[in-house]
Amino acid sequence: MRAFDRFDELDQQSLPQGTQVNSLLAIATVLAMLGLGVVIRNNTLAATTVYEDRINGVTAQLPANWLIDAEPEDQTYIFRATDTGGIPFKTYIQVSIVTVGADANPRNVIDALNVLGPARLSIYHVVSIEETRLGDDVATRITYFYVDTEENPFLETEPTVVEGVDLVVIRRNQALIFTFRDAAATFEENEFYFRNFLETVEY
Amino acid sequence: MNKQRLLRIWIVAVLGLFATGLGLITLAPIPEQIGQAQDGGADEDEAESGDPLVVLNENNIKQATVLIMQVSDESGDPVIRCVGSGTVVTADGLILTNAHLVVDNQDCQADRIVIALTVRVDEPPIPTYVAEVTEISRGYDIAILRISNYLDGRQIDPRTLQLPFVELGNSNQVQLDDTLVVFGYPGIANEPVQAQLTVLNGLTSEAQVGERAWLRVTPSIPGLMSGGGAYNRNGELVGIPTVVPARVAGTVVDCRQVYDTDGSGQIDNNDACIPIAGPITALRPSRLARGLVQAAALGIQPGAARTSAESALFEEQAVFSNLFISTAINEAGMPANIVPAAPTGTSNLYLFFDYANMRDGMIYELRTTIDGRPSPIFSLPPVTWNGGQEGLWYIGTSVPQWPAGRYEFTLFIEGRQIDSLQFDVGGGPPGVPAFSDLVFGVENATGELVGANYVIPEGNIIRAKFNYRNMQPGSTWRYQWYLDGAPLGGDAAGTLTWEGTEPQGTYEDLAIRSEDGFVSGRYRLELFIQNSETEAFRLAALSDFTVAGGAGGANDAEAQIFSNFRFAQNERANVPLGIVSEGFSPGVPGLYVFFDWRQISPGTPWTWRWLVDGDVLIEENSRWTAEGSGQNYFLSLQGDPFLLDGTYSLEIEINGIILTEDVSAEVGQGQLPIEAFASAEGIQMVGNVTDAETNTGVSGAMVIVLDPELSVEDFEWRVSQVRAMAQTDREGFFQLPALLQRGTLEEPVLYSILIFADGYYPVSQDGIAVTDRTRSPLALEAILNRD
Repeated sequence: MRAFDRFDELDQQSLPQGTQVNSLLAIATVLAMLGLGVVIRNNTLAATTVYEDRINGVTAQLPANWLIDAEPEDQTYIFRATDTGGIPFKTYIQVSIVTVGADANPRNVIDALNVLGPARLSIYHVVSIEETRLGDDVATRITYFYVDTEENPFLETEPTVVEGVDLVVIRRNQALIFTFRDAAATFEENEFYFRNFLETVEY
Repeated sequence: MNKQRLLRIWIVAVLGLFATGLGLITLAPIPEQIGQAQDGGADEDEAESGDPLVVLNENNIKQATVLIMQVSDESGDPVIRCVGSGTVVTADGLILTNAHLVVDNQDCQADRIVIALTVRVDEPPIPTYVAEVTEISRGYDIAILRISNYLDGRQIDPRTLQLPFVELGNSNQVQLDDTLVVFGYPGIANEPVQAQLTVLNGLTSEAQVGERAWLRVTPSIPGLMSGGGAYNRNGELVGIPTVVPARVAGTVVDCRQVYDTDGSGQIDNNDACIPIAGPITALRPSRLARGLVQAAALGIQPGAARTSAESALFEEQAVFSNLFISTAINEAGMPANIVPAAPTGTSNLYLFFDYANMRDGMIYELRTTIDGRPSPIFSLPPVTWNGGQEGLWYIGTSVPQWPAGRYEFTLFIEGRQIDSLQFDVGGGPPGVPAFSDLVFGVENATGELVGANYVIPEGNIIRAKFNYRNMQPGSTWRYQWYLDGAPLGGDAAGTLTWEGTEPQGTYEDLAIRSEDGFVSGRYRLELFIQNSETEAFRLAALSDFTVAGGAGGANDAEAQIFSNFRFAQNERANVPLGIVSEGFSPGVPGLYVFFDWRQISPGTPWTWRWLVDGDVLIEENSRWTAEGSGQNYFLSLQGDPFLLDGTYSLEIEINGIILTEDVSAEVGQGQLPIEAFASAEGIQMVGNVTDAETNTGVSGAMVIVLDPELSVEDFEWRVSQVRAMAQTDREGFFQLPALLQRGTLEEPVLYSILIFADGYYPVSQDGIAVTDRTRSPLALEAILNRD
């Protein structure tokens, strides 16, 4: 007799109370362990790690298992954390520092970024510039779109519309630029990474 | 508890554990799901044989071969004016090609250079980038381009480019009968890159370049492949196929109208056309390009030089004249002899001729027939001129044996036939009287000739010596000295009777004297022997030499022309400025070398070359344009943005004689950084990432290869620990931008790889071995399971 036939036979019989309790306990155990698995998984996805850049005096919590680049060849940022699993775009958070004069305000930096944008990014288009705050500091936030294309011409990669946010604050004679870029289609879904980052960043 | 209940509890418990595992498994790599594809990895058979793996990585070469288009705007629309081929020689976008393909000229008036890449090797190239000329040698017809912009105008940071590239090989090691594979584009942007087998069957020498100025190949190659690359069996670039579009009476022979450039609505002769060059039988050896490539890679360019009055433009028609044949040349590029015919078995012949009113950039050509049949191997296809206005030139060819027959050499300038010479090869060694090996020197106190070269200091006596053979006593011969092309009078010409009794030997008694001393300039001595039967004089020997500078060195026989060399950081009004030293701190933007000179005639040909750490980077043949004597002539080098650490040296040469000694300055450590030149040696890793469920490619997956010997477990998610990373395309294909370093069979280099994609479990694997037997590209296959 096959095992499944045996189960059918057993199901047709009324089970003793102890058996029913044991079954319920077993099912509860399964559900609990499933829940535990999901919690562990979610915690893993939402986990953060503290990143400290002592040279530039910036500390923040970054998503765990994002790839951190603190030694860019072109020196255009001080560090960048990238979600290597992101499809179609590798979501990233980036911190840059530019030197500014004593009279500079965040808007001056935003204007410079706007001028540079079309030279660096394809189909660069600004959708909003707004004053905001980061902690106690005055900040300016710019939101824009551009088209990300694969730099390796030998790959058949479709361009991706990317939504980006640059948030600029002034620290003495430096402007700190916090950048978040993600595929436009998943931007809202993933923006919590950036919000978490901004809530924890110290500079 | 009965058995059924126990069984049920256990099944449920196992299911629970499985579910928990699902939650945790995102943290755990699944190593066995990355594998090497069948055609990748180490070749076991070859590994066992122990022979070095010979790799002609055809796909890599094809992808490194680019189509070059010169483009101009006509009525607002871009129009392709000229096309040719080129080769990427560094990953950051330096391209080697022909100079005539990238400079604005009468056949090709364009304002930008567009680079088309072969994305798929079996399809025509796709215009992708705009490039700029960074180094050029019109005489060698070689240029180095740097990719600078995307087509939409966005600038490109070269550091972000990771293009397939090839390395230059040693063209001096190529031997006759070697097989070479030539890569290029045979069509006007409508055909894929093509590889064509050729055989090296001749070596052509040329004035100002010397031996191996051209590698001669058969069968011929389509003309549009000019600028591409010829590769040896190790996949190293050893030659650049070179030919310029042929002309007849100054007009391009083959020019194709493709675009309606005048907006008339029809294609006709009023529309601009794309010139098509004829078949290619000549390759420029890669050694002539090596310095330019290195200079471009280091960001070094020749900087300002002291400006002088340029020679006046001339309108007279360019001519070649006085054609003759020699069987050898000496170190000064002068004919060792002059022969009326050559015996069977001759392997080297050099066609010499005088030229006048030439301009650099003109196109000249040699067509040769043997017994009336065209002979491409002994011809020189249309190439650009770089010999300056006037002088003595030669084209020589070395083959195992010149076939017997009657040769006719015909020279053309801009498609116009200029002069020709008939010459016989065959029979036994000629027993005719002959002079050879003319050299010059000065006279010492005891009346002997001292020094023996082709740069003579100013003085009152110039002596010549030469070898002779088959001379009969009583035979008549004569000599004639020239200065700057004009025959000198007095004792500078004469007819003599041969008095020697030995049939062969060295004659040292020929001299020319001047009470006032000889002025600097370009001199020539011609020797003639009379035919006893016809009484006609035959040119038997000829050599040019230069008189310049004051006497110095051993026996006062060496010309002292350049002196007081000083290096400086800058100049103003022809005076050294900034630090003047032989050692400079790192980061200097440029170097100036100043020197004094004396007694050098304007128009004297001279060559200067810059070397870095002993390697020639930039060389230029020029004519002296400053006054006869003076101070603070300067040449300079500029870095972009600064000169790298290294030892920078200057050499000056006249008539093949180097007239400088250890003129060098150190910047920083005095040695180029080890990583100054990227290497194309290494393993390219490519692969496919596939969805296990659908068996289709996973788009956007991230492939990360860690630094050697770093395991996945030790990875701390820092880019500094990453050797290379790439993203898969829509087909799931990836190509790592950096090459993987090879190890050996005994000590392989071990790499770890991780692959991530949103919605899939990540996979990883340690211990991917790369040895000197690993075939490139190393192809990987990875399968991802959905989470």
